[in-house]
Amino acid sequence: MNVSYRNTYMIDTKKPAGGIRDLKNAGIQNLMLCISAWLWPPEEEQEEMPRWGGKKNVRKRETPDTIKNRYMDMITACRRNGIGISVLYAPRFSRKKDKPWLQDYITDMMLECIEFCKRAGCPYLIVGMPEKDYDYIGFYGKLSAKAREAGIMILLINQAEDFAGHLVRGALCESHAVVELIDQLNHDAGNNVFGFCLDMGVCNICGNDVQSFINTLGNRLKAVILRDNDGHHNTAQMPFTCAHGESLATDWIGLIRGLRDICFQEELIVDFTDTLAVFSPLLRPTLFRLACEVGNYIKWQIQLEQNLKKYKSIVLFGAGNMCRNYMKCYGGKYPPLFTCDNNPKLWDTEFEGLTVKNPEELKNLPDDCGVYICNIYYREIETQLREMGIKNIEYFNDEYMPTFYFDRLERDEE
Amino acid sequence: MEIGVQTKNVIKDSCPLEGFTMLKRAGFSCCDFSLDVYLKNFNVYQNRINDFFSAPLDELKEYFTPHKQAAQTADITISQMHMPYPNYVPGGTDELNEYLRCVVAPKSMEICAFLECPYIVVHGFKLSHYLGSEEAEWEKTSEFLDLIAPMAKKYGITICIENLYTGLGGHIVEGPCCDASKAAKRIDEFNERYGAQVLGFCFDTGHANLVGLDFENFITTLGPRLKVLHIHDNDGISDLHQIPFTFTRTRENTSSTDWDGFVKGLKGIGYKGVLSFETAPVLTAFPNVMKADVLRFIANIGRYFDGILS
Repeated sequence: MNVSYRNTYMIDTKKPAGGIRDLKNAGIQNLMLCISAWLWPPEEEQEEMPRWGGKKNVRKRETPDTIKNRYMDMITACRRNGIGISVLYAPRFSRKKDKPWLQDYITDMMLECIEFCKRAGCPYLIVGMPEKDYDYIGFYGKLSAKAREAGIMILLINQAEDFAGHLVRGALCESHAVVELIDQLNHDAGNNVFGFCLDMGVCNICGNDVQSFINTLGNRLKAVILRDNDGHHNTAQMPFTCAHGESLATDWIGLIRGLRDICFQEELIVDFTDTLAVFSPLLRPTLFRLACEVGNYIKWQIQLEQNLKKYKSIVLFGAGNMCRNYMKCYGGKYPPLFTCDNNPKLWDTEFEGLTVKNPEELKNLPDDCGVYICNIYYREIETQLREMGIKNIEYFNDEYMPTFYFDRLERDEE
Repeated sequence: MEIGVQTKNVIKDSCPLEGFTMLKRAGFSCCDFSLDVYLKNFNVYQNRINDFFSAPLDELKEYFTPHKQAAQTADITISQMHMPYPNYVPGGTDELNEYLRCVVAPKSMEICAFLECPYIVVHGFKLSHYLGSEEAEWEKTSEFLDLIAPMAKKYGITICIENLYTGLGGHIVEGPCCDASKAAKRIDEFNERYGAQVLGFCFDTGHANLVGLDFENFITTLGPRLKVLHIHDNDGISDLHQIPFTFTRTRENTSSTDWDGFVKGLKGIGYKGVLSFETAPVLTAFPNVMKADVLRFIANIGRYFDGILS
C-alpha cells in the first residue's frame, strides 16, 4: 500500500527545491499532483466574460502544452530526489455550460493528461465528473483507448453537489451505480482501464456509510483520498483534526473496516490542503512530518491483521480490555500462546482463555514469536521489553476493531 | 390524495375528539398515530421505562377506544402509526431489551390492529459500530422483524422500515435503511418468505436531506415498496422536523431541500399513499393559539403536493 500526499502548498512548481527538501525530511516519498487549469473560452467568446475595473479580463487559454510546461520541471526535480508522482488529478470543469467548444476542449485536455501521466511515470489519473446524470459512458469512453495504450488507469471519483447552498450527494455517490458504471466502462474498453477513487471528504459531507460503500466497490477501489472536514463544509483538513464533543467528525472506523474487508493494497492519498493553507510557511515542514505519521498510522491500522501474520506464533502483553478485544476479534484466527502482565496478582490466572504470565516468561520465547503490546502504555512497556532484551516487539491497537463489545471491563487496570 | 399529520402535540388523551376535529377542520383526512409518545425514546435510552405497555392488552384497547371513536367521529383515518423506539438499546440491560422486544413491540402491533391502522413504522437497530457492518446490523433488525411479522400477516398490517441517521462528531451520517437497493431486496425477501406484504418502506424526507440523499433516485429505487411518508424539512444539519420549504441557505433564498426531486420520485412510481407530515415540533414552536392556523398551512402544502402529483 502506497501513501501519497496532495502537492498543493507542499511544493512550489516553479521553485521546487525547498519543498522537496522538506518532503524528504518528513519522510514523504510520493505525491498526488493536482493539475489546476483555468477554463477560458476562445477569443471570440471572451466578450461575454465579466470585466473587472473596466478592463477586459484577457487571459490566455490553457493548453495541454502550458500545463505540461508548468509541471514538468517540478516532476523532474522530484524524480531526481526519489519522490514519485503516484496519482495525477486532472482539472475539473463543469460541463453544464452549453458551449460548442467545451466538450471537445475538455476531452482534449483529459487525453493530454493521460499522456502527461505516462511521462510522469504515474499509474493513476483521477478524472472527476462534477454533474450527476451526465453521459458518463460517452465521456469516459473517449478516454479509454488512449489510457489503455499508455497503461494508465482512469479513476472516477465521488463528488458533492451544491443544492441551493446545501452540499448533497452529487456524481458517483451511490456505490451500486458506481459499480455498474465502472464494469460497463471496463467491458466496453475490453480491459481494466477504469477504477475508483473514494474521496473521504465527500463521503463525510454526504454522510455515506463508508464501510458499505467500500465493500460494494471491492477491487474496483484503487485510491482513497484521506481528508477531514466537519461534515458540512467541503474542506480538506488533516485526518483526525475535525472533532466535536471529543469525538471524530469523520467515519474513520468505517473506512478502516471497509479497507480491511476488501484487503485494500492500493493508494492512500492524504489531502490536508486547507490545514496547510492557514499554517505559516514556517510551520509547514512540521505539519509535513505529522501528515506523514498520520498517513502511516492509517496504513498500519488497515494492515493490522496482516501484521499479525508476520510471526509463526505470538504472545500478548496486557490482560485488560485491549487483550479482551484482541481475543474477541482475532483470538480464534491468531491464538496467542499466552498473555503477560505487570500486575503480579494476575499471574497464573486465566483471562479470556489465556494464561496470564509474569513478563519474565517472555525471555524464553522462540525467535519467530512476536510480542504484541495490548496496553495503552505502549512506550513504557516497549522500553521495559527492550531492557529485558526482548525482540520482535509489536503494537496491537483496539481503536478500530472489526466489532466491539457493548461494555468495557470495569476491573481494567490499563 | 389523502393528507395526514402526526397526532403528537394535537391529540390529547383527555379529549381526543377535540384534536381529531381540529385536524379535520385544518384539512387533513388522515393521521399518523404517535404511539411512540407513550414510551419516549429519551427515557428508553436512559433505561427509564414507564409501565404503560405493561398493562394487559384489554386495558390498552380500552385506553385507546376513545381515540378510535373520536377519529371515526371526526372522519379521520388512522393511516399509519409509529412504534415506540428504539427496539433495542446497545449496552442496555437484558431485562430492558427483553421488555422492548417481547412486550412493547407485540402490544404495539395489537394496538395498531385495534385502531385498524394498515401501516406501522419501526426503527431498525443501530448496531453497526458494535457488530462491525451494516449487514450484521440488518441481521439483528431482521430477527426483530421476524418476531412481529407473523402478527403483521395475521392482521394485514405492513411494517415499514424507515431511513434513519446516526450522529458522528457533530454532524449526521447514514443510519439503518439508507441504501434503497438493499432495502428493496430485503423487503422483497421478507414478503416472499411470508407470502404477504408484511414489510414496506417509510421514506423520511428530513432524514434523507440530512445525509444528502438523492430523493428522486431513492424513491424510484423503492418503487411500490414505498408505503408511507414522513414529510418534514430541516437545514441539512439537524433533524428539526419543520414545515417543507422553510429552509434556505443562500441569498437567492430558494429551498435547500430537493422538494422537486421528491415530487418527481413520487410521481414516477405512481405513489397513491397518504401525504403524511411528521411535523409535530412545529406545533410547539408556534404559539398554541396559532395551532389551527399552522395545521391548515401544513395541510395546504399537502394539497400543493397533491396538485402536482395529480
